[in-house]
Amino acid sequence: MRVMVAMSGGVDSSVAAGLMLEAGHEVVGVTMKLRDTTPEERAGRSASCCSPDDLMDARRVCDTLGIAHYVVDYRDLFRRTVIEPFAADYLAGLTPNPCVRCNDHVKFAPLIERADMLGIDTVVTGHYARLDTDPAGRRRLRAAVDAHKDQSYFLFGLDQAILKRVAFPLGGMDKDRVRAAAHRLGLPVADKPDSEDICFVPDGDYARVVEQVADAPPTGPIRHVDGRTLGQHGGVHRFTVGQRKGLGVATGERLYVVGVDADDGAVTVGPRAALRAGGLRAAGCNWIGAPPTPGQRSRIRIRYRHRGVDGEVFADGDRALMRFDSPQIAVAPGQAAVVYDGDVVLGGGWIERALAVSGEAPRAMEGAAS
Amino acid sequence: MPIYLDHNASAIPSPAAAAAAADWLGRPANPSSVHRAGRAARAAVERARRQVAEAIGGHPGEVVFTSGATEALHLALGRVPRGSHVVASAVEHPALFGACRARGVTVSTAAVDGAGRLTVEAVRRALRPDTALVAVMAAQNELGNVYPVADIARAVAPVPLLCDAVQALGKIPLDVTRLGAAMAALSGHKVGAPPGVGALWVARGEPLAPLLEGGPQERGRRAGTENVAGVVALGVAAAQVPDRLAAMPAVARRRDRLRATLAEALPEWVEHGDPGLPNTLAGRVEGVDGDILLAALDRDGVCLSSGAACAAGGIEPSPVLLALGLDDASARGGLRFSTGPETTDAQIARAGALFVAAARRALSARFKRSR
Repeated sequence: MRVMVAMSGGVDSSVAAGLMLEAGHEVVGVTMKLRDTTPEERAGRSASCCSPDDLMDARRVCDTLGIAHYVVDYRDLFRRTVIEPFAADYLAGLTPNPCVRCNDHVKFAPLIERADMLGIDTVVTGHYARLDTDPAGRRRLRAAVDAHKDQSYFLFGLDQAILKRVAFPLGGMDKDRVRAAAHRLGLPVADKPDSEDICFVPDGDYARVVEQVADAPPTGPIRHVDGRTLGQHGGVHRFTVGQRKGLGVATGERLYVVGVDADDGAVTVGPRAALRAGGLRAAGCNWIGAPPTPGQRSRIRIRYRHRGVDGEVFADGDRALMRFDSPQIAVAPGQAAVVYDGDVVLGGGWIERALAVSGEAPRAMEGAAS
Repeated sequence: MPIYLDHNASAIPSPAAAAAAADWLGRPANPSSVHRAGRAARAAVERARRQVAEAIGGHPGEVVFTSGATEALHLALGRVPRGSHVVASAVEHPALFGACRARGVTVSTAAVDGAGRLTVEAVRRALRPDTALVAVMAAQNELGNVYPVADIARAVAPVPLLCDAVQALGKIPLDVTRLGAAMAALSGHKVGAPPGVGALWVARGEPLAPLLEGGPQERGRRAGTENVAGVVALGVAAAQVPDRLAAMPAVARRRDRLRATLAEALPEWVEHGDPGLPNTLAGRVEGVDGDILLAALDRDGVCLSSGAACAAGGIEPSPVLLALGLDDASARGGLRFSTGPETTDAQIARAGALFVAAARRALSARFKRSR
């Protein structure tokens, strides 16, 4: 098989390339140039994903493996489909997930098109997820064996046409085995630390990225769910639902962000109990196989590091209603709600709003993003 | 063996030049040493200087060896006062523009037309009363266009002209006595010597200050122990320039055959430039990024270039193609075949067929997507 491996310069995609080569495939490496180099990176002070160092690492890995390596320029695409929507979401009071967007718009479809143009069969990435085929012949996306590294959450937006053309060789491995494989293959990145940050937010400073891309973010009051105005804030982009730190108000009470309303610039805060939600509404849904049957029992993950809650899913076109068996804390509009049946990813959608816990009064945040 | 069609990036080394370099890499060789080993090295360097001078019709004393053409251009810019004005063609090599930046001069560019042609008038229009230097290359590396350097030199006199002659040497006749230039930059690895050696030809009487302060090598014009192995190889390659020139009619015929193959088989093939160099064919397959075809041909064992090699890691669309008036997407389609005397008929036929097949596959994949 001819395969193209998307290589970030990290250990995972490097091992993916090495394993495909060992398995006897004809392999080429491709590194996506997603953004311009920052002055900090040029001075060697910051080493995030997609930095020049990472590009050089990918090249060194390919040299070690003896395979071709090319750089493809997706800077425009990445800016249009990931960075700008990321900023726009924050300005709209949402909590965006740029990694899902990148998978939906940058990593797969354009690389598959490129593979087609080159006569290459399969696009390979270092994602921790598994693929197989169900009895009906449809591709099935499943969680990785290593639950701690599992990245299937980020891949719920892929469709059959894409899943037929990709492979995730690390889905059955845990991180230790991947590291061991990197050493066995003699890869120069075998001991490189994992990158945890979002690649274009190297130091975790979201607000600065938003301010660089967008016009002046809306400012406004900080209001308690009980109606009091507690103060003013410097921009809605600095707040996400569930946030506790950096509120800039002191009431003696432990307060969390409960809602962000971009229209009047208000940030609503309240006690932890005010964050409880009994379900959610989602839009922009993608179902990898057949859509869930009405009320289908599922496990629902409402953010990447969420282990999931059992519940029922009602799909309606590209929209869905999901009800949790037990209330969940901090259902943040803008995040993805991903639906599992066991370890199989059924699909998911983008959270529009949280729903009140049944029997409890609706909360201030419910109108926020509707 | 790959089919190597990227001679404008780096020519296939001359076996004689490589052997000479290897010989000198195995000896202690400081030409400034007084003893016999030093004398031998000095004699080898001076012999190379005569060989280079002879290849371009100059005098040995006019040849300053450098680490390559980039250094030669920087050295040449040293004669221009900081803050002064330089006129350059819009399609000069990045090394020329870099040397101008490093020197802190203002640059006005003379535009080329859609086929990369440069007129005397375009250069003259860019002149200012304080213009201290005009820079025009003898032949354009990405397009193969050849420029009327002698006519331009006459038109801008008494402003001195710096000629980047890197791509001309060994491909078209180059005679500094007719060039009208005050200085000309040369590169070893474009004519069969290894990378890391080049030269600046400076007409007698023209001022030149060293870039780096140090020893009195190269008559005080270029400090630092000479790269003897490289210099000797450049001399050997220069001595073979007449042989290269003699091969050029056949080189041109093969290039023309490739051009005809692409034009016949691919309606989407659009040629760039107006190559006066016999070995260069530039163009694009409309709607297909150049790097896709480069990768496809690379897998097939054919080496070519998308834009200039320097831009290959930088993945910016070629400024030269943008200077022709191409939009960003078209410029990203840019590809360049550049052949050499070593290229055979069979290689040209095979490369043409592989290119057509790769282009058709890419076009049909694109068609499938757009439906």
